[in-house]
Amino acid sequence: MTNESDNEKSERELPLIKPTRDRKIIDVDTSNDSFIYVPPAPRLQPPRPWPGPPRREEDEMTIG
Amino acid sequence: MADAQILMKAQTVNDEYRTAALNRKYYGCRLQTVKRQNLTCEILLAFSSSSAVAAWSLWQTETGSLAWKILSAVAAIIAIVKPLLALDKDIERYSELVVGYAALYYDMRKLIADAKINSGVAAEDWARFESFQQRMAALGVKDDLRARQKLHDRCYDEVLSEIPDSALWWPLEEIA
Repeated sequence: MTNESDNEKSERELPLIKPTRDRKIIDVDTSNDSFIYVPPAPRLQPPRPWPGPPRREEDEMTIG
Repeated sequence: MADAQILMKAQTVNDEYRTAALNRKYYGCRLQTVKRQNLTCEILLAFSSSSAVAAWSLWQTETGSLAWKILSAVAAIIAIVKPLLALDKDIERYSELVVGYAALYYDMRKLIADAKINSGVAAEDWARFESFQQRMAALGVKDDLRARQKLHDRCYDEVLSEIPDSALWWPLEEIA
């Protein structure tokens, strides 16, 4: 009986965690709790990339 | 550097134009297929539940009786599965996508035609293009998560042959 009451007493006397310079208690804004981030749905992409610009005659001459 | 930027912008405009054409074609085919599936289901259900059809003497024969039993079984399965397939929702979504991409396709075609006529794209045209991109992004939310590969490839090839490089705007003369 005495042991139980001692335990209760010691639990009650546990020191509260106080904010210090290293351990800050941050105020969390709960007003926007309903907001859930949904990443944008991936768009249907073409099966292959579209071909680039046509080659200019000068380029073809250089390659040739 | 500026030349590369113009070319990159032209590539973006042309790519989006071709993508709008591809999606219009792809979702048009999907809409047609789903509509056909839905119609087949509806006809089968109506056929099997019609008392007038059930009264046909055709079903009294041995073969007819077997055919009626098979038809009734198929109709029962369709009646269970059809609400789960949600074909109506697919038809609605595909219709919206076809209309949306078709509108974008024609708007972009106009933009590219203007760019070709004016040999360049003015600032207000870029603003127009940005609004097209926003519309495209909004439609993208409703896109199929996974495309039917064969159909998608076929539509891609068709778009490439329908919209060749010569039909697009390339600022090559301006750069050169």
